[in-house]
Amino acid sequence: MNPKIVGTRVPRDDGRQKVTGESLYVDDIDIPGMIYGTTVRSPVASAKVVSVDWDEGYDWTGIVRVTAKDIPGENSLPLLIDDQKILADRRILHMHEPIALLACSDPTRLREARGHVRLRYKSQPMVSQIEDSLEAEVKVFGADNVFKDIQISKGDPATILPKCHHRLEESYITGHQEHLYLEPQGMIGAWQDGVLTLTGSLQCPYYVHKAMKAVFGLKDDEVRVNQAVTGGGFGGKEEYPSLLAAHVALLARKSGTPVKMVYERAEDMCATTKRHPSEVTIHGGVDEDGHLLALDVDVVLDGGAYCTLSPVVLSRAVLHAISAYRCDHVAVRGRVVATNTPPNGAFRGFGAPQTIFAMERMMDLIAETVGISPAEVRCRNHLQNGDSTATGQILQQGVSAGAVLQKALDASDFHSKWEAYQGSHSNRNRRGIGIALFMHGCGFTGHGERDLKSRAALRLFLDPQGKPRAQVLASTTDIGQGMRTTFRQIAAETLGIAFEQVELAPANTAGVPNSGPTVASRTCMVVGGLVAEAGKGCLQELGFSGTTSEVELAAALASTGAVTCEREYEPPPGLVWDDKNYRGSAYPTYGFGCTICEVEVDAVTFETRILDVVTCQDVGRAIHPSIVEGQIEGGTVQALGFAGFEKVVMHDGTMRNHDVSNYVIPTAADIAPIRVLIHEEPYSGGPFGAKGIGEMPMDGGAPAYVAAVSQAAGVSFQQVPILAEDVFAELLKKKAVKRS
Amino acid sequence: MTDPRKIEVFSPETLSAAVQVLAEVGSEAHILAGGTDLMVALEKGFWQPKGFVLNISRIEPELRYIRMEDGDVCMGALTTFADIARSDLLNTEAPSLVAAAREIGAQQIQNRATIGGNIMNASPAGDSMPPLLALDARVVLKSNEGPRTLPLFSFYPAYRETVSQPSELLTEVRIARRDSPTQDYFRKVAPRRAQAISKVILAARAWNVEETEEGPRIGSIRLGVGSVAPTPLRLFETERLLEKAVLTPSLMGAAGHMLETEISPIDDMRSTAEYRRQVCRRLLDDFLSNLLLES
Repeated sequence: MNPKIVGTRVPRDDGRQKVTGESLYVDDIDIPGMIYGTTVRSPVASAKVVSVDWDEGYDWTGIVRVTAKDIPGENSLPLLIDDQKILADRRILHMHEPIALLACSDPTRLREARGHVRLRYKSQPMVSQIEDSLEAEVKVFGADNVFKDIQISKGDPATILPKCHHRLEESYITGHQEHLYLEPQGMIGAWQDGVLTLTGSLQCPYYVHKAMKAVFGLKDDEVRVNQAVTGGGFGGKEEYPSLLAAHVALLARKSGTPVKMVYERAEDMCATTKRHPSEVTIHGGVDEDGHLLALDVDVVLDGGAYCTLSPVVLSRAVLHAISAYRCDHVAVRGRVVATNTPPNGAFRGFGAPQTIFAMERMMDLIAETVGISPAEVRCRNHLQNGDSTATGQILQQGVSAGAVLQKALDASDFHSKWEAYQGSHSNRNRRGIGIALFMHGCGFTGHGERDLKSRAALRLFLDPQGKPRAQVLASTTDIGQGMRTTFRQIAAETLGIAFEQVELAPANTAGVPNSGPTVASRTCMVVGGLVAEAGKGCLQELGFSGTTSEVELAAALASTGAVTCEREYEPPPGLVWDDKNYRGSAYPTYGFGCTICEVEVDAVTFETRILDVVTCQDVGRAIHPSIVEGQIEGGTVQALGFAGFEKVVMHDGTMRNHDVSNYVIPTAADIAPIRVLIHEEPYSGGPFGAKGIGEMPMDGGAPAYVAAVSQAAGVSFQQVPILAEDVFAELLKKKAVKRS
Repeated sequence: MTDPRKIEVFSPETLSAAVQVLAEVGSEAHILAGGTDLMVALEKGFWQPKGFVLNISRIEPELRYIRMEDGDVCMGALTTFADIARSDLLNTEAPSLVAAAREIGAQQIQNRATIGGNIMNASPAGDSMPPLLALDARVVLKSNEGPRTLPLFSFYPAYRETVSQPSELLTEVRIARRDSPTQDYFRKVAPRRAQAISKVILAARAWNVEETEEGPRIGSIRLGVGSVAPTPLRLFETERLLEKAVLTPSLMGAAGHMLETEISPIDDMRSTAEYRRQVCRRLLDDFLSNLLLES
């Protein structure tokens, strides 16, 4: 093969339309007769519903009203355990829970009408955080408030830990994080001749398809889901759009007209899912040189009021708890518990950033205890080919932890900077440098990919000018990450035709096969792989064993006619996973990364300024280097936001700072240029060797930033986010600054 | 939220027409200049106009200027922060105000937002007021009965209130031109480096700083602070302590104590009272230390 498209920076598929404003987002789409919908939400975090009434003095003419009574079947949103109500009927479990729906042709009247719905309720005691949930005096879910409990065990940590030369224990806390996709949630629903059509800002068309079939008792071809151009997702549009779809479908069903609902920014921030807050405690045992001997990790995630995807998030959290390190004796226990806060859900990294943060801070504590540098402790413990993970998966090849670590250390001049910043304790601005080494499992966990049986297809045909053209048929969605461009490159390279000769079929459940959800860093590696296989299949059907000239391809197509080839995912041989005991191959392969962050803490104001960020990440193969760099830069910024800026002020079960002026994400002025180093350790199961890269960049920013701030401030932090107020408070506590 | 289509908007073309409207029905008027505060408040439902909106943005020819007049630097109320940031005159005469203008919102906001709007919005976190206080700014209010001029430090009686009457329109801000070299300071502490609401602001100006054997002696000093009290605040007592005195470490300590008695920061979702108090004090220290270093 002679690659000429893969690995190049072709112009982005959707770039021009987005820059010129041609792209139509949900809010831009109008359907004749369409009216607008809105959601009436609970003003209380925990209550029994007495009644939902309509203000009799208000003129309801022209306003369509829906309550739980209008739901044709079960009042539950089908997901993992179906516990979430479409509209609260008897119990309210969180603030801003949907209670009723309204629709009207005048959106402003709608906002006014919302104030005339009368909810009568009896307040109940609430569980606001993890500690109270574990006590289980107040029950939010089941008998013990635990959605899921997972244990991993390897070797005999109980025996080994007490005998270790150094034994360390520390607890780590991470907060909520809001996705803050640029485009809020939005959906349009319409019924025609018994067929429900949904057009929305979403990541997973077939998730919505499946949920709506269940809610309305429809057959496969009676629900059509189209993805509109989507302005960011980050996991926030993985499971949540199904709820919105149910809402617009109910309103459209009752009104007999298409209904559009687009969330206001404040509503989106208050009501939709966030990253799970975490509390992780690690007991670590090392020898006198800092080699890991035993680890005992306890992970608790706050799931919020309903289960959503929390068990799967917890699964990824515990599977990344030991991160990129070798340790023979390991115990990990993970629980995700219920609180009376809006349900938490999928968010880039999916539990891994929380546990990796804890493990990385533990590695720094080990280094400090043993008296070696944070770089050295990682050099001594990182995974190598032939090592096994906590679940006993032997990593035979492709372990690039050492390589990415070395590249990042060299590029950042870590050693000399760390040495120089160790002793400096003047009153001037102080600097610090921090490092994080991490790995991220690509694709679904365990048997997830095998069970999904994802499919994608390619259609190869002649255009009217007699030129071969190809169309990719996949339900994978472009949510800003650049997947449209990547798939076109993969198809073009495989078929031996130009990038311009490949197009993508719209992500519409009526027209493309189920390629599985657009999540879990699986798009390029898994579905992109299917596209490549389908391409090879097309060529085979035409009698070619590989790429050929355009003339020959055109001639073959002229005699055979158009060919379509569909491929279904098959897991690589030897992938065995025991979901009951959490043993075996948790992921088909792993990406590895190392992020180094250098900061300065202002001596007057305690503000942190980021001076330099270096990150080296193994992506297997960069199909489109600019897109890969974009993913790495964007994910790193989101991680630095998680670490040093983004604080969800949750009070009485609601987010108080529900606007973009008070929930602070970093701007370009806050982030130093990120120096991205791409490392390519090809994975044989991915197209052209590609691994997943969507989520891994989210893993390293927080621990590297916190380590840097800790060195600069001279105090060690174990939580995120850390704001200037936290640095100040901690220095006061340590009497490192004087209170006047 | 109030239906924007139901809001009555009156857009006079001249200052005299606007003032005439205020004379007749001023108590029902909501004055709109650049709209960067009001439109956000409308969307969030914080602002529910009961009467009508008096849109003064068309009086731009009369109210958008930066010029010298009677030894004062004068800014029309509709002068935008982009105008201020670009003004050579203000870069020389009011560097702290220029620094504030450059940190307000994004470039798009700086193009729309006006100095008059910022003053009249009366937020304790407003970015331009601390430097204006440190520059001894005066504001000109115009009504049918003529203009009156008053110092900005007397303009804010309470949280989000001004002494302006319903019949009056803020038309101008005036700063006396410097007659000797000054040392100016502006620092906005915010949760991020751009497009952020302040947590603490200190603006300062010192002049006639003399060298003495014991150290520098400050002839005159003005201190304006933001986000540490219900209103933008000038620190008169702290100024009094520092003026005509030799700047020693013990005087700096005393000034810091005095500053703490003058401000009254609170805990809210943006910061803590303790952080604001200590950082405000440290900013003053920072300014005074610079004076020490420069002398």
